[in-house]
Amino acid sequence: MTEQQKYNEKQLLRDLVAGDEEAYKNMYELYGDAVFKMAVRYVKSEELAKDVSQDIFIKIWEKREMLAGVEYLRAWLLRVTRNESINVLRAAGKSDIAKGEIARHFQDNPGFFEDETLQRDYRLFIRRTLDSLSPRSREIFLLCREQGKTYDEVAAALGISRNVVRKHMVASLKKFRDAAEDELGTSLSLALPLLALLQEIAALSRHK
Amino acid sequence: MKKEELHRQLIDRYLDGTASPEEVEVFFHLLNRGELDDQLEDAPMEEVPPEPAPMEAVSPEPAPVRRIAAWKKYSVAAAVILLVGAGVFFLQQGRKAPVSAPIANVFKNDVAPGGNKAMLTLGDGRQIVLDSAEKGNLASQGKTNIVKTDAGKLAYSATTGAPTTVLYNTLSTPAGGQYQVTLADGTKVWLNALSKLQFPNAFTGKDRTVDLTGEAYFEIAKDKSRPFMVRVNGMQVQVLGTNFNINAYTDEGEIRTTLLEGAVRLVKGEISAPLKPGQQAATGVGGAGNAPGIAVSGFSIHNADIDQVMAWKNGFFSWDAADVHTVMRQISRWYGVEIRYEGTPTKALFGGEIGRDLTLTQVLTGLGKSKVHFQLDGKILTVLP
Repeated sequence: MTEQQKYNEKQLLRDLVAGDEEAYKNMYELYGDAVFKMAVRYVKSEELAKDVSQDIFIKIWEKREMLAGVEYLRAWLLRVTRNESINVLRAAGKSDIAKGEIARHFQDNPGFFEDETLQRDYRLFIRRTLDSLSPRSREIFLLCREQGKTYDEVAAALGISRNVVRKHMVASLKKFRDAAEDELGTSLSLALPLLALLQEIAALSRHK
Repeated sequence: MKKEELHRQLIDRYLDGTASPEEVEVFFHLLNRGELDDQLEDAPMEEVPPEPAPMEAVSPEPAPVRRIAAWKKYSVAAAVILLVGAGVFFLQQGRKAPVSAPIANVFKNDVAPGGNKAMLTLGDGRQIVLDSAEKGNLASQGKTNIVKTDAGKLAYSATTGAPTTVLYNTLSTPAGGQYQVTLADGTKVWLNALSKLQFPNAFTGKDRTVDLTGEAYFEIAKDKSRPFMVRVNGMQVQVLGTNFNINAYTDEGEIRTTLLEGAVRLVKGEISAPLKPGQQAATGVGGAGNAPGIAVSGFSIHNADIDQVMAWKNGFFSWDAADVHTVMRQISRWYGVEIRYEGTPTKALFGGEIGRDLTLTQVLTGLGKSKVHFQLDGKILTVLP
């Protein structure tokens, strides 16, 4: 930056610490937009970003003595904005409503159900594991999970007891669980939070 | 791919606005667990002189295709868990799963499922929290080493020579906890939630005796010269070499012992009864806590549904024509929630299997449907008709 600019920033800082209202207006005009844009990058919602920005500028005015140690105002402002935005995100994460408001900005992005590769990987995994089941277990599994039949319906359709249906299902589910752990390894533990979302679009379990 | 690398990708995709809705969900989840703090701070923002350039944090270029593919594995894993746990199955290409009918559940928060949590109290009174303990040698007692062999597993091994001092240890699990321990003789015990096992660090003497409260599954190491005995709530299970499950939660109103393999003899006061594999014996707990129709003295023996009895150890809830109270007691122990009923508790019966590794709201949504509704506030779960 030019000597002039450096002088100006240093002067601005001094004036701010001294409580000069004109300097404060200048700072807002110079950096308000950058602060807002930084906040938006993190909190996504423009309304939320506006709140974050305003809070920051208010706090700077009320606690302007903390500017005394700052060397580069712009960089410091942006770091403060980033930290405050992250705090807001943490708080928002605890409220479904706030989280939903932020997540809204992503809803047009392709997710699991629109991603061809994901769907294919998933179907491949299912097919491989299904093939490892006994023919009878596989038949029962597909009736229950693909056609959504209850244990009683399957028992009636196949002429076997409900208990036998249950035994097959329990064994098959165990095989799926073990295969998933082997193949997907630690991804299972990270994937659990994804379920909170997938659950909302999941079909009802019809086993009575 | 390392977790840190994946976290970095997730943060980048969130900031870029390219993350999928599922990824955003994961982002918030990890953020609130503090797992992203380091990397969020790392985003370079040194004090630099002002530049005309835009103020975006310096982040790596959008990841190349092969890195994205690895991240997406998590979406597949999630779908599989849902398949195994809550009974959903997406097979058709491009078909979105049907949206569930609106349910009148009110969830103010969620509760994480239980996991490997337990506390070990040594003979000298020292207490070790096992969840967070590092793998490896935890302590030595007399001539026995206590080793955490893996997540959720504890093993007692005798060092050289005959054991001199016999000290009693207690392994206890909280609500939402479970743990496995291998005793000094090689016997393996799996403890369910809210349970306690008291045992010696070494078995000297003519027999092997342990004390149990709650629920545990035993695989007894064969030793013809020393019979194994489990003392539970006024009753004893005498075994030689066998596999069996004991459910002795006092709020169940009865003690249920189910034999899988081998042979056991149940003794209570003057009455003793042998069990054969596949059988279950039930006896009352005495006092006001008895289940109706269960004799306090003596045993009631019948054939058991082994899968249902062992479901907990295999990671499932398994119910077959179970009433709402039975279901809720198990939910309460695994998620550590207090159960309240509003209005007349439903007489509906519940059946099916649900994974134990799902969060509470996921399980409740799987259970609820048309039969019953829930309200969750903090750790209080209210059941409504």
